[in-house]
Amino acid sequence: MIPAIASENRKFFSTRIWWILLLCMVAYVAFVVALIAVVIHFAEGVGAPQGTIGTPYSLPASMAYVFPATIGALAITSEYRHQTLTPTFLATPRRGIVLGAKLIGAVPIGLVLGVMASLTALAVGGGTLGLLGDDTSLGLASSWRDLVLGALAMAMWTLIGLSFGALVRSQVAAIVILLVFSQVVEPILRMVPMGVPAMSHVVKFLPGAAGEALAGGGQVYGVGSVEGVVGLPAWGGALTMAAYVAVFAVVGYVVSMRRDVT
Amino acid sequence: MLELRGLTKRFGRLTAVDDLTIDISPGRVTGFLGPNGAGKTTTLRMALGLVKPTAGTATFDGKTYRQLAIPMRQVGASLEATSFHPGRTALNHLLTLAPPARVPDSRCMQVLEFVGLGPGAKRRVGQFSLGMRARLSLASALLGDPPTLLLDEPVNGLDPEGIAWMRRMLRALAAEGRTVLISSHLLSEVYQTADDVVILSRGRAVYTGSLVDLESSGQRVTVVSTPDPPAFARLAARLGWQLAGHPEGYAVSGPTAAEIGDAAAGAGIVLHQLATRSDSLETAFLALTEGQGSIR
Ligand SMILES: Nc1ncnc2c1ncn2[C@@H]1O[C@H](COP(=O)(O)OP(=O)(O)OP(=O)(O)O)[C@@H](O)[C@H]1O
Ligand SMILES: [Mg+2]
Repeated sequence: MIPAIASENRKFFSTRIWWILLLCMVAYVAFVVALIAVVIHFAEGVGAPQGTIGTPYSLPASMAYVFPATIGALAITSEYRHQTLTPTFLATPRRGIVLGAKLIGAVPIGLVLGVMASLTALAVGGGTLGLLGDDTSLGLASSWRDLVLGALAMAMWTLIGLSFGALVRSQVAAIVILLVFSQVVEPILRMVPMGVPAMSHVVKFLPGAAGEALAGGGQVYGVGSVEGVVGLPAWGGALTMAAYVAVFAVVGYVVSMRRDVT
Repeated sequence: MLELRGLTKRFGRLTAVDDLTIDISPGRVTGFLGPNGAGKTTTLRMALGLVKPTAGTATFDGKTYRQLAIPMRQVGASLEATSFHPGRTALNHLLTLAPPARVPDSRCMQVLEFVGLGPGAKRRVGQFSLGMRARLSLASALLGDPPTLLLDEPVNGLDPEGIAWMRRMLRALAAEGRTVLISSHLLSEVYQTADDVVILSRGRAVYTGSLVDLESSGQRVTVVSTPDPPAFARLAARLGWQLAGHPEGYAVSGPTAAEIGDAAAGAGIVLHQLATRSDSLETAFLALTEGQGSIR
């Protein structure tokens, strides 16, 4: 298993796409966090009591999770796209080991992405609020908790993307589905509880909602925005994300990974 | 030793490989021949655990590819040189394979230099020519210094110098006692390299044995040039040889070059050329594989 993980690690760092996506993620997080910090400033300016609007620190896992998910998906779909599964399986013929090595190898990579996203949120969010003369909320333990668990949520998203890619195989299909689901489908589904409150018990298990629950977010498309409805606790969000990884990986292994490589 | 036993692959209604039972022996270069679509690549992919056989087994000294402890140390394979990430350099491609092959990183540069890719080591494979890809594919196969080599169309894309180099290298590897299997759809490509040939047609082995035996089973064609064609034609008619027109004179079927030379000398006919062509092999090959059509 260890040689297979080393191999996956080298594959990841020997093409350029990872740092392009990393830079895009950092830029996007910086933009969103700065924007929300300004919104918080003006909302509090018109009389909302301080702290009730929330902080910008949990935003990466709400808004930028397509980046780690895409990086994860590429780790396997690019092998299908460039037919590199042939040398991969020649080197490691047991395909379950290949999938396992990809997942384990993606953990540190996902954590680095998550830490980069949280550091960006901390620097840009804290900096913007500070410049505007607002409370940065960095005295609150919850802000730091959001930053740490947000990094974990981003790492989980890398694994969800990877296992989803293992199932879908096609690079284009995997990325299009990830984008459409995260930017369109889930945001729409999350609005359903506003009309049908009972649906919140289903909607809170959507992957984006689970990630937000882990990262302490929820103020964006929030499940929690409906009166009397609470989302999952952080540990519940983490377990839900892990369940997605497990289901995609097992189904992906059975349905996709065992196919003939021709 | 690679042993195929009843190896069969069906894709829907098409039987790509049909009940193949052959042994590929060590110490020899075996040519794996057949027209396009005969099932060569499918056979190799089954042997390497990439394609699941419909029936039958392929084993290396008794073990399937998946059972090998460190596969790349036991079997080196190159399959149609397309399997590279275009954004990765040649050296990095090999470095991704070094840990599972359990070879030191230094071995990667070593094999790149061996296949003549030393100067291109740090270039992205996307910029490589077909011949450079063929060399890189070979470098991956050699990475683990394996006793068995399975190479699918290894000379595809190589320049004449590269082809000559490849021949020498494959002969040397077999001389060291390794098992070497090379596929091709052209007999002339393996003619100077292979000891044995397996000829596939429509997924079935239609000939298994040495090249020498195959050659003698085919019709011999000898090309003759002479300054006195009418006299030679009369001689051929008298001796019952089959003559055909040829750009350089006549193509004679039936007798050996020695028989023709002796008879011409006896009849006082001057010959400027007397050459047995490997066309005879090509003829035998075509006769064995005819009827498949070029593509199934
Ligand atoms: N994945 C697949 N699905 C369906 N048919 C396939 C598949 N792979 C190969 N075939 C068919 O199996 C037959 C054998 O193909 P194969 O690639 O093994 O031939 P080949 O001898 O390697 O030919 P070539 O000289 O062109 O490389 C062909 O008819 C091909 O169309
Ligand atoms: Mg082929």
